[in-house]
Amino acid sequence: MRTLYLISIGIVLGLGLAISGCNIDNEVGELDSDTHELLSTESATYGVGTKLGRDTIIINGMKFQPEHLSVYKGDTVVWINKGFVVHDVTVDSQGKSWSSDSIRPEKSWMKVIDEDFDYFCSIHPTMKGRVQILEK
Amino acid sequence: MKTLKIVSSWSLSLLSAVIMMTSVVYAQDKTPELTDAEIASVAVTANQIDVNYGKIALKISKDKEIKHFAQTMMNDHTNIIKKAADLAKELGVTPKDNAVTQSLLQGEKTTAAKLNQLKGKEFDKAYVDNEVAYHQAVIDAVKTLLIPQTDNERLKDLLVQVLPLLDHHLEMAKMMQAKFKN
Repeated sequence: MRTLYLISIGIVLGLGLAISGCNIDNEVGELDSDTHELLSTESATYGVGTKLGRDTIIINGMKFQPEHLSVYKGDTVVWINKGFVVHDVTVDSQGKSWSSDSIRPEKSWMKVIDEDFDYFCSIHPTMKGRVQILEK
Repeated sequence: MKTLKIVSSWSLSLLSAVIMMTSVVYAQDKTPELTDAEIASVAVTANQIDVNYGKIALKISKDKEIKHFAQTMMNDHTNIIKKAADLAKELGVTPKDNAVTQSLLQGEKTTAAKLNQLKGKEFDKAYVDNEVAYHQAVIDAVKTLLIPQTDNERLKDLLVQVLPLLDHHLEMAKMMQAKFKN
């Protein structure tokens, strides 16, 4: 009886860890398998900034830094929360509507860019940013 | 009017705390009166108080916007407390109770008692008015009292970094205040 009890606790803990692992993956980012290929073949030629065709926006001091970012179509942008509190990246204008949902302090979220957009933090709406596509 | 009483009693108690501390500082004319341990205590208490006001709002208010605002206040201030507490621990600083902390807690007691008596739109307005007054008072205290007197650079840096967040809260509270003017 006791063994059964211990086993079931083990299973619940294991499940809990697995589930929390999944959550962390979601927060780190959604990366398309197609885009993976793009990153490896085009990384050397394209991308403003880092080698991987990836650009970084730091969330800190209640600001998105930089506030305006220009990237090439297909580049990945990573938002890293270096602030104290939870933020998000939300779009709700010009017929577009999506959100990163909560990005906790020290966590990041990434998106492959295929169009221009204005975004804001839905938790702290005066925080705004813009991502724009560069013409090649 | 009830709202006016809440705002003025709160501002009065914090103002008297600031005046008291300022007069002590000027009388001394040398080293600051608040130690880092005391500053840490003030920082944690000031944040906890807004979390507590948020709890009252979640309990009493029926308005979705007020509840969302209150939840954001609670989440943000809890995160700041965690950051401050973690840093204090790392620095080996134990928050020390002091006159400013006591004054903040006294203000909270008075304001909470009044808020808890209100309902409906009257509550919503009083809550938002208090959030504006409170955040303004805390921003002033952080700028003029806490930051200048902090010895440890990292603790000072934390307080400096918190200011944009407090400013934003104040801005949000003022936006809410405009909506609940009637």
